[in-house]
Amino acid sequence: MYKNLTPDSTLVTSYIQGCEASLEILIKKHKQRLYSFIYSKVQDREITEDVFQDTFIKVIRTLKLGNYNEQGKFLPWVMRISHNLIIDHFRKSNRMRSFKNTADFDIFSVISDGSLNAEKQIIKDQVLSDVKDLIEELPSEQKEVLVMRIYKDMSFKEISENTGVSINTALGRMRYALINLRKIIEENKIILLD
Amino acid sequence: MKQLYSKKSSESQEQPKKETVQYLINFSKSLSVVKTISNIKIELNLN
Repeated sequence: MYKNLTPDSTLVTSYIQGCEASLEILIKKHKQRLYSFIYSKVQDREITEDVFQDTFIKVIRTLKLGNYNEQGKFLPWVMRISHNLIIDHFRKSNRMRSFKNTADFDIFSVISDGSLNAEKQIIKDQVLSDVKDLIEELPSEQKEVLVMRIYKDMSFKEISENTGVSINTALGRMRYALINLRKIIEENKIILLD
Repeated sequence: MKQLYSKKSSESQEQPKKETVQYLINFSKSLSVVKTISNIKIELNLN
């Protein structure tokens, strides 16, 4: 550990008066304590290094501009600066969460814009319109059940009551409606893109 | 004698890189503050 018995206040005064060597002594005297303090908060070597550097840049600027007025309390002042920079770091990292893409993980696989972009919206509208045209090709009983189930969100019990057929018949018509829709799609080689 | 306590973690002993310290020393040397006629202080980086 670096030992220098000159008081911080003396070193600070001497640095302000132009002795660059005093700054070197101040940095070497307090680097370990400050570094450990920052690391204990951020738990990352690179960030610790950055915060350490930014702290002393601020210290240097403040001293050179003659804005330092906490004589005798140099280290607590430096720690306070680094504490504020650590808070800034966490604020920034909360705003901008960063992920690294790897072969196994692609950030775009888990994030998406909830709203559709214009192109996707046009495609979706086209697909829905095509499906409606295909439904028109179905026999009327099957079409009726499918429309009630899919577009009106009715239960098979409600469909049964509305159409006057049993639930089983309604289920059967729905099943055939889907089978026939698939057939129409395959026979006409229709591609529905989502 | 059996060691009862492990050595203190090396993490707490860690320090900034030498380059970081050197960068700060150089930064300080290259930075000078001048006062304008209207008494405004300006930082000059003389790199």
